[in-house]
Amino acid sequence: MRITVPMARVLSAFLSDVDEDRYGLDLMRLTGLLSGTLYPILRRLQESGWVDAEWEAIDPAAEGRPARRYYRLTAQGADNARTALAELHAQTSTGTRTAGEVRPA
Amino acid sequence: MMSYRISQWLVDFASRRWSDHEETAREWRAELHELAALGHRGEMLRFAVSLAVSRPFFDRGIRITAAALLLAPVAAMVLWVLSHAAAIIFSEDLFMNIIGEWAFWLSETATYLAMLALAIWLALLARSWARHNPLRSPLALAVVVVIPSVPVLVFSASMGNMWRLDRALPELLIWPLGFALTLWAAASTKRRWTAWTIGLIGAFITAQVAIMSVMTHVTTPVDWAVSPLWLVSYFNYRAQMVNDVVSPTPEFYLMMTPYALSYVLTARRTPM
Repeated sequence: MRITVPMARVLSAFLSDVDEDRYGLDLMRLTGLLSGTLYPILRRLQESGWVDAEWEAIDPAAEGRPARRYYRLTAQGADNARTALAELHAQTSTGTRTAGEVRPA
Repeated sequence: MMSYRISQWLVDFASRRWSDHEETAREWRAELHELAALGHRGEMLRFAVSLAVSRPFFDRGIRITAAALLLAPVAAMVLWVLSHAAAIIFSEDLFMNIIGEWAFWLSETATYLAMLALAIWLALLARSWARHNPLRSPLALAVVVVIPSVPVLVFSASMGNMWRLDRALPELLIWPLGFALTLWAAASTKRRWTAWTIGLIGAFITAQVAIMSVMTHVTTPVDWAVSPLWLVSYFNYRAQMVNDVVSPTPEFYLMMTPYALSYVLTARRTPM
């Protein structure tokens, strides 16, 4: 899978706490990405098996809000993400640094 | 309140372009609800507008479906050309050396048999592509299979005699319409073999009527009494004039029919 700078940001956000479930707004705040950039990345990660998605098990009436869709790195996804970010880091530290450079978490 | 409604409308609009749109809309509405509860109107609108203007995400199934539907008619055309190329390279010389006067007829027969074999191969491939199609409605499936084949049919008609295309309009209307109706009828039938029978008979009748519509433009006398046999005689080269006038669209029909039937019937029977 091609790792773009926005995708690297998303992977870094997930890796900052691999046991934490994340939802869309949460990831937008962590990465600074717009929704129109974030969600296609999440779907690509899901399709590649790097991320699992699950609906929050709550009673919306009792909570006073609809259920969120939570995302979490799979075990394989976490390994792949670490490798991909390390490779990206190696490439950017040997080449020209750009404004969008991302370091692995 | 107004900004919440506008945002909801925008995320609903955006989600309809995504492949799993119901789940997606539910997710985004939940996010909007949170922003609205926090009173972040600007963020809410930015969230919705960003999704509305971004490129939608199509999952692998949709991408396979689009590629199959758009490329299969082109593949049919390419396989048709390959059949003829193979016949030119191998058959004519080979048959000419062995049996002289029958060479041409044998060469043509070998070409059509090769074409039929490749058409069946395309139909077998179509079974795996069709399982990714999210559509189950017989009419919708018939339409999405036939529409991408129309440009290739027009191109195919233009490959015949140069005068042919301007007189081919009835054929270019009859075949897509008749074939779509055939696929619709076949896909609406529950039993597999009945569906295939309806499909093959319907495709034959449609192709027959389509080539008859081309023959109405012929100025030389034509024996209309044998017209129901024109499609058959085309493929065993017994009616030279018919071949000269209608070629090569019957070959495109031959290539497309097994693929389209296989695709539509498999998609129709694939569980959601």
